[in-house]
Amino acid sequence: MTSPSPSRSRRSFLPLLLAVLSSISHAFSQSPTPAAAPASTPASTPAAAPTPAAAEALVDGLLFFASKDATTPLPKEDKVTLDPAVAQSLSLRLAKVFKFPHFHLIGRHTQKVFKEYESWVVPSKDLCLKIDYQGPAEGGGLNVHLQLWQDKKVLVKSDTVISPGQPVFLGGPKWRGGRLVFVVMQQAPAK
Amino acid sequence: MNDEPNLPPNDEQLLRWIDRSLPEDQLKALDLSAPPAWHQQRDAAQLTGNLLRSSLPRTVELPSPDLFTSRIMEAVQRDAPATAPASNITPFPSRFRQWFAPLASAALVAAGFLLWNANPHPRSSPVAETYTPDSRVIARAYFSDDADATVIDLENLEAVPDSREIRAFNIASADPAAPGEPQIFYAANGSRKPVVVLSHDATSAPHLRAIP
Repeated sequence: MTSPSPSRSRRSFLPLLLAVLSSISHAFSQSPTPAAAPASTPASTPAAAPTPAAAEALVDGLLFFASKDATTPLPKEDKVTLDPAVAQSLSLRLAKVFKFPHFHLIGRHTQKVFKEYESWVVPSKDLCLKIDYQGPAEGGGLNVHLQLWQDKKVLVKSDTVISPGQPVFLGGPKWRGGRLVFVVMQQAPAK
Repeated sequence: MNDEPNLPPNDEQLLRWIDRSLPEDQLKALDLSAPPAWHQQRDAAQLTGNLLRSSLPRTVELPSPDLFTSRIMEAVQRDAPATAPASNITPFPSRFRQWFAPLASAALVAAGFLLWNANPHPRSSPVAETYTPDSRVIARAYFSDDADATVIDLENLEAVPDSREIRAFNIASADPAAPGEPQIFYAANGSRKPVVVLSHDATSAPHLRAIP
């Protein structure tokens, strides 16, 4: 019997790995149990009318235009509002990460994060965020899978945590000498 | 083995020996004749199996298999230099090495699932695991203590043309749509004015239609 060469072993390793990954993914997704998966698309949920969906939390999806210019790019009638104290605090925090002096809020969408449905946060037609809830995070907050979309393209997929007071900043594409920044933050639970 | 008492076991018999699915008499015979290195490999295989069984939930659905795969591939690449000198380990039948690759794969998968299921995000400093489908785009993910925020900074993105008007909204929370139906979002000012309609194309990409 001949011994496989090391290079042959290496060549066979990756396809085998991918085959194992694929088979595990399929095998496990076919075993129904009460401990259902946390997130699914509407297409994979029972084809029932959307009765009020169980929501885990409320998040704000905010689209900012980071700019060197103090003038907002939006017409006045499209002005989006946010609590001034929150807006000021966020601008200061954004400035510590993205080196711009001005952060203009140009879009806002407050959305429930559903336990068994994907949640879309759409502060803009140009940048939107898909959130799949993945369970509670240790110490509060949400474990989530995020997908940032620009038109028909996923810019990034990420597993992360959103918690009250600790937003996620997504630095997006450049535009008009500045930059689009997507912020997603959990609202503090109602008392 | 191999039905002839003095012949070494073939590949299938070796695999079934590892699985302990050989007939009792053959299992015992091979238990006695197998060298210690074979027993070590069988123990390692069982350990991997036990690890998988104890670590994986019975139902696993990955919202983003490509993100998961990319993390496994990163682990493979990270471990590659460390596995190169492995030719010095205990002599082992060449055909056994063929079984070692899937076993090692399974072990990596188990490790990947453990990482996936573990909660690596302590309250004080959440972090993000990222994957960019466009290989030119780089996602720098970190926790900024200054900003007290998780940052995912995307580099090398194509700029939005300056001539394009960014169409932004101020909208309220909407319930999920019925399967196959578009989701309608309404203005946040309480007017219940529909602002944007979200539907999906065949590739699940979102299609957003603003309502004038």
